[in-house]
Amino acid sequence: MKAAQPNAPPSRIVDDLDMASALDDLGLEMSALDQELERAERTGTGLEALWQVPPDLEDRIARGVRQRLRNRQTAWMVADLIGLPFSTARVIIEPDQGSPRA
Amino acid sequence: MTRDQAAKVAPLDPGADAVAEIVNEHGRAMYRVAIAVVRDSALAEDVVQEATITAWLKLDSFRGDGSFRGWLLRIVHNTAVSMVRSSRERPWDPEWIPPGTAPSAERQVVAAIELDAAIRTFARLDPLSRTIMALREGEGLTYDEIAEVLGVTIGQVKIRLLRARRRLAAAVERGEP
Repeated sequence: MKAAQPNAPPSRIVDDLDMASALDDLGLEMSALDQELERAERTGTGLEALWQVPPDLEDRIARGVRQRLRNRQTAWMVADLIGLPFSTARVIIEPDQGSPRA
Repeated sequence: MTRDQAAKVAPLDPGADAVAEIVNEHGRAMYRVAIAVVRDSALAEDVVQEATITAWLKLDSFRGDGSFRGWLLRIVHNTAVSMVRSSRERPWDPEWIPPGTAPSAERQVVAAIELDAAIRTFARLDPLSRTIMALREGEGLTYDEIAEVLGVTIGQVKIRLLRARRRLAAAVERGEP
């Protein structure tokens, strides 16, 4: 079995940003980046509304997590009982898992 | 999920254990990162739920010498990106506006136009830039912390942030995305 990497989440983020081109597009030298960013950050973006979270978010998440874990437990029991692969049993029990919402 | 992990699920009581702690301590930050990527409140909640389970199952792999929040938010970002990829057949709604931010009669017309322009421009940024904005504006993380959460360089964080802010400022000035 492959050993887990300490502090490593499931997959890596790849940022393909070409720093030189991006700086060029912004019309900046690297040395001016901090100053320009500081200046830009003094102006608000008006996006405050975006960072609001729904009321009772924590309760809803906790309920959702409990349900998902119950579903997984059931999927494992089904897989064990009738010899299905776990992934197949899970799709049967959680048909919406990973699929887009209507 | 491995068989060992499945066994771990069995005795779970999420009301009084690490899962509840993760949700209560970090749920809001996780949601802000998720919605920045997926742009859909219901899907963002799905992302947070999945990421919470992933983090809980992988708690043993967290060494504890880094930031737990950083480790957790990175899992959220990865989960959100994966979920967006898996639902690629459904095109993102370019007109998506977060709940509660649609123009209302009470709002001043000019402010409404600016807000709409900012939000629509934000929604059109790439997912990584949106996440960087969410971590900076929504969570108040430093550039160093954002770089740690996302596993990118500080320079990349700064450039994406500046580029995003310039686009937003230009959109607000024009009154359109």
